[in-house]
Amino acid sequence: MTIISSEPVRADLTLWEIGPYHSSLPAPMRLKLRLDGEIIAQCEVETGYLHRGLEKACELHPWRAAIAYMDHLDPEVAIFGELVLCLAVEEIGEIIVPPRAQRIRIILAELSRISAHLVFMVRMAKAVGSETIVHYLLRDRERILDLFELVAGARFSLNFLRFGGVSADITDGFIERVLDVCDLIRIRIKEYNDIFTFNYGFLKRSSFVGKIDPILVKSSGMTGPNARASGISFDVRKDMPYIGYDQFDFEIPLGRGEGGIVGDAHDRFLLRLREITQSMELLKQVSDHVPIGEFQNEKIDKEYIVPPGEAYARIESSRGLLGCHVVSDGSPCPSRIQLRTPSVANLLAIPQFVSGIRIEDLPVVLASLDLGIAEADR
Amino acid sequence: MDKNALVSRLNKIIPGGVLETRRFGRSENTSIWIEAQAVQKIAMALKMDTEMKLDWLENLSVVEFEKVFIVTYFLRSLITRHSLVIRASAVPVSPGSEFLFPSVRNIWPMGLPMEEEAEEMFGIVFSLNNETQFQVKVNRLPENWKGFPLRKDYVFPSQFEDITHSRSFNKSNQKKSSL
Repeated sequence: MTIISSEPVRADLTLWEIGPYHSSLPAPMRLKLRLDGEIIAQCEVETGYLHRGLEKACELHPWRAAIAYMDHLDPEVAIFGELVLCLAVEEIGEIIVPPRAQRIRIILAELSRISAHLVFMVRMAKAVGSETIVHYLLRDRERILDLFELVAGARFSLNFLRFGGVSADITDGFIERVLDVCDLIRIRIKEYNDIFTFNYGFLKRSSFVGKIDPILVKSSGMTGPNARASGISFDVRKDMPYIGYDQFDFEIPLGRGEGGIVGDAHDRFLLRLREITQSMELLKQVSDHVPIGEFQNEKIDKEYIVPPGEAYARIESSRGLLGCHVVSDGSPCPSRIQLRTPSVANLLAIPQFVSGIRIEDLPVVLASLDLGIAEADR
Repeated sequence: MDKNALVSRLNKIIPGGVLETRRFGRSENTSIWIEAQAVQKIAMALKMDTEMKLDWLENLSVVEFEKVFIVTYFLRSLITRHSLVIRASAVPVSPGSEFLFPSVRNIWPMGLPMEEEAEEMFGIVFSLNNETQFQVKVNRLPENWKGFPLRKDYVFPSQFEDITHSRSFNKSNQKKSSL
């Protein structure tokens, strides 16, 4: 994908090309900047360096293998790729998912969201050169990865969900451990705030920087925390509830511009911090309502072939709306699996709002977008 | 939202533009099948429709079914919260060749990356003014890559530049082995 600024190219500007590999970039991508002194005048974004042919790979393998491939949509938050595929397939096959499996899915999704937001905070800290908090954040994230290992045997590519449920039941004491981790992170958030969130240096680097206008949010199709930080209230969990999110009481945080203005880099940081708190509240509610029973629809085995039909499922991943259009022709392999990933819209918006910012602010602005190039390139 | 009223409104603005309405999936709303040449006019009408205000192209998906390419637009409104699926189909003049299809990136700017991806993977050139220039931008695939990988008749090359491989990508083999 090449996103070019709509303005005509000015010849009096300095040309800077950053990437595809650079320490200030979150993943392989290329930025072509035209600088007026230290101010970015124009920007072009080029991606595609991480294309792995994921959608084609899914078409070449049996249905069950597609779940494992979906792990690689974004390995940091593997559960979201698996979940959106399972939801689409379950709609085509009219598969009933046991309530216990639904609750396990919510627990894993919210743990993944917390984990992803902690990694986002790590990127922000690295962008402003704050090393101390990085170690604290990664230490706490390890506790979540421990939970993934406990339930799925893997820390990243979980390959845990199945059509009609999950691959294994949670073990005794898992829920208690989830609550322990929530309690721990709740205490640690205060620590993060003391050390980092309202640190003078961090505020100076991230406040009033990289403001995204709500009009740009709408025109680029941005969703998720970046859109909500700009005041756009849209969350798939609330607007189009799935896997039983409508049975729980939770709020959707919106940007308030506490450190600077609504929609700036610091607001995006704060919003994710609030989303961590919100996810922990949600986990607490869900953990009280995990029914006893089956964790997998017994009629669905590993040889299950999806009947002919199509469906479109959407979920709220840690970065925004993740959509999946699945088509089955009744054969053992998918006919088509198409993905709509939130990072594509975030990339589309970059040339529009980085114009006018200083070059030294660019790493902070890019980190504040939480770009997932793996999911954008597929 | 009354789908029949919407279809009649569209038929008034673009006579013959709407072909039929069909159910999409099991839980999604009805899909409206439209004439490929009327895509831009209908897209504009849906965006400007006072009742629907479909200001957001949530997703654009291309599916090949029996050599027919079906382009599906998943539309949504952030104002009215309505959603709609519209679909149009096209057939390439000859197998393996690129073909033109109306672009909606001037109506929904977020459609640009989705159209670019479909261009590269399916060889559908999304055009604003029925330009006859076939220039598929290459971003994901290597520069000299031949063919459109997501087409059903695509054959994986056994060699690309100096790289060779012997792995079979025959889907029919996969089917047999999984059965």
